Amino acid sequence: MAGLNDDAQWIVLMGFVVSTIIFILALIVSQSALVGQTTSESVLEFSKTDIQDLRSEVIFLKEKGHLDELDLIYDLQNLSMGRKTAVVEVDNWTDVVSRTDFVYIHFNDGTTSYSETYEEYY
Amino acid sequence: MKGKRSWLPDEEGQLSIDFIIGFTIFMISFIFVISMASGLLVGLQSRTIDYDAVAYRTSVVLVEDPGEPRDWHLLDLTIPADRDSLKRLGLSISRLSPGLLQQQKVDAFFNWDSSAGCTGTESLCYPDEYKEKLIFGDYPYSFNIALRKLNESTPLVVGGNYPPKHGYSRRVVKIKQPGAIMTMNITNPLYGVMKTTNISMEFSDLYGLINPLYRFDTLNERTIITIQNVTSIVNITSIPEVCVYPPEGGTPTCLYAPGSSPTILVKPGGGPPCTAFPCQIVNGTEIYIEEGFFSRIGLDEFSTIEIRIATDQNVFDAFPYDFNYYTATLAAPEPAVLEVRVW
Amino acid sequence: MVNDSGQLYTIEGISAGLLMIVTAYLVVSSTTVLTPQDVHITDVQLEQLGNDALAMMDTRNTYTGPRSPLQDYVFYDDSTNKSNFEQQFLLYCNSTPFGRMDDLRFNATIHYINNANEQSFYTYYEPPGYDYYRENAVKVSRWIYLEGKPPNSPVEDKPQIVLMEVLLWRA
Repeated sequence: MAGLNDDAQWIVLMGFVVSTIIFILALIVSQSALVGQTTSESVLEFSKTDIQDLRSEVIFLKEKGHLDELDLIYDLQNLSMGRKTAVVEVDNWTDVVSRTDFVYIHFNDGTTSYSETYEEYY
Repeated sequence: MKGKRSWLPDEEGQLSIDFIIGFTIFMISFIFVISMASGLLVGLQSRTIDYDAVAYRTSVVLVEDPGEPRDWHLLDLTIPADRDSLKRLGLSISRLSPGLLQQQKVDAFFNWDSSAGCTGTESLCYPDEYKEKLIFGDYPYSFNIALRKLNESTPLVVGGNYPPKHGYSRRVVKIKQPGAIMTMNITNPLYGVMKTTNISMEFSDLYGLINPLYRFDTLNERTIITIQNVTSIVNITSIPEVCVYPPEGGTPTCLYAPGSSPTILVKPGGGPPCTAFPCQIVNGTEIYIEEGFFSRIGLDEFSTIEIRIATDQNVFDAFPYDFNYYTATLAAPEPAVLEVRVW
Repeated sequence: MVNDSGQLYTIEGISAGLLMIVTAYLVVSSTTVLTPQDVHITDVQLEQLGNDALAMMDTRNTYTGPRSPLQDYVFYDDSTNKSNFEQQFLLYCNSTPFGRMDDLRFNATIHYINNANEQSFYTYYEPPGYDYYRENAVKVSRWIYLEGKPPNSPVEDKPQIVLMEVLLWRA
């Protein structure tokens, strides 16, 4: 290798180093978008009011005795999916032996998933 | 002599050993650095405090949390052990009813005292207890919390004057008004049969209502029985009696309403209570069972009692009165607006 | 074989590399990294307030009452009830404890499932004279149970659940 002309190596190498440094800087700047999620954004993301609203409506239906009407549950599910992009499931059954009514509520809008089995002794 | 062909592509595929070694060392360290790049911004923290987040959290604790213990409005804050057991000031009636507040908790929350001996009183100490039990955190936040019922004009306030820049949160709530009211219509003395009557209360029925917003909480809230249809001169001849039935049935134990508070008062026309008996009653006389009377005499959610009223005329018919969800009503919950400011 | 004719390149390369590294270090150690935020705070406050107002209007006054005030306003949707809805909703949203009235405006639509099993909507309340909002508007919603068809609505006459969506903005 005595006669190999490697004068261009430095230029190529420096070019390579410069491009990788620019790449690292770009990585840092792009991470700033992820790092900077504030409390307000996480509050907005969590659908607390949707879940509270759903619970309140299901308990209202139970109090007025409408939970067995499947058309209503279908309306709930369809509108939830269409307007809130959330999957909702409502189910109810009774255990005669322990005299308890059970209502199962499930809600999932992609970022938050909520399940509850509500028991009421009668 | 390959010098003059150095710009042509060299097909021998040889690189100088220096280059290879240097490049290898460089690539290894580069990969090492890149793998650490994802953790570069982890230590980055904002220097400004997000007061709006603190105000939002405080408003959620006030409006959606019943507090710890959940009936902290019944604690006697003069007892140090009770005051220490109060961990969190929340105003909601239960954890399943967000946005619905209990009037007694609201009254206790805005009962504050900033003097030095406040731990021996029934009031909450301002500002320390509010910071410990509501705002939380090591940073010394200042706060201002105001609540106003929409049908009133003056707000209840705790906290000082606030600067122009502060964290802010506003909530709309409804406050359950305590005290069920039952109207007792008496008959004309010409047609009445008896001079005494019983008002029976079955606590297991009353406490059997699942929904806490509409439940008659007779153990902890006041109860009013209003006498209507008084057409002639009628006097109540003695202090009302409370007869408690034992759990297995049988003869009840009766006792007269005690002289000290909380007790049962007879308020003719809704005004000041009768101090001596016989006491004349008019239309709208209240038999006012004060808040905490039933707990005072040791009742619980399964008790069955009767309240005996004795008069000097035949104004009652043969059937006793029954205090239940069909005969008594609760006032509608009142809307209110709450503002929390933190700085 | 090894001489110092390439020194200039070397020095140039090393100084350029050093400059890059120092810049990167300064960027990372400073706290002025731009993040998307701040506009969300008012959104959170407005959304919570709107949801609270709808939830409180949807609370029955007595246990045995058949409908909450909100259900009444939607089920009997004549102009008196719509005006009552507007007044009560604005009262809840704009009241403050110290007496100053805020200035929030809204419009309300009701989404339902029609008899072709599709989602459809109708406007329940539109503010008179203006429909334009400048600042960020938030959308809050509430489920409503209807026993039948309200007189001025295109829904089917059967018991159903509809979704009321209210768009709320600061004037």
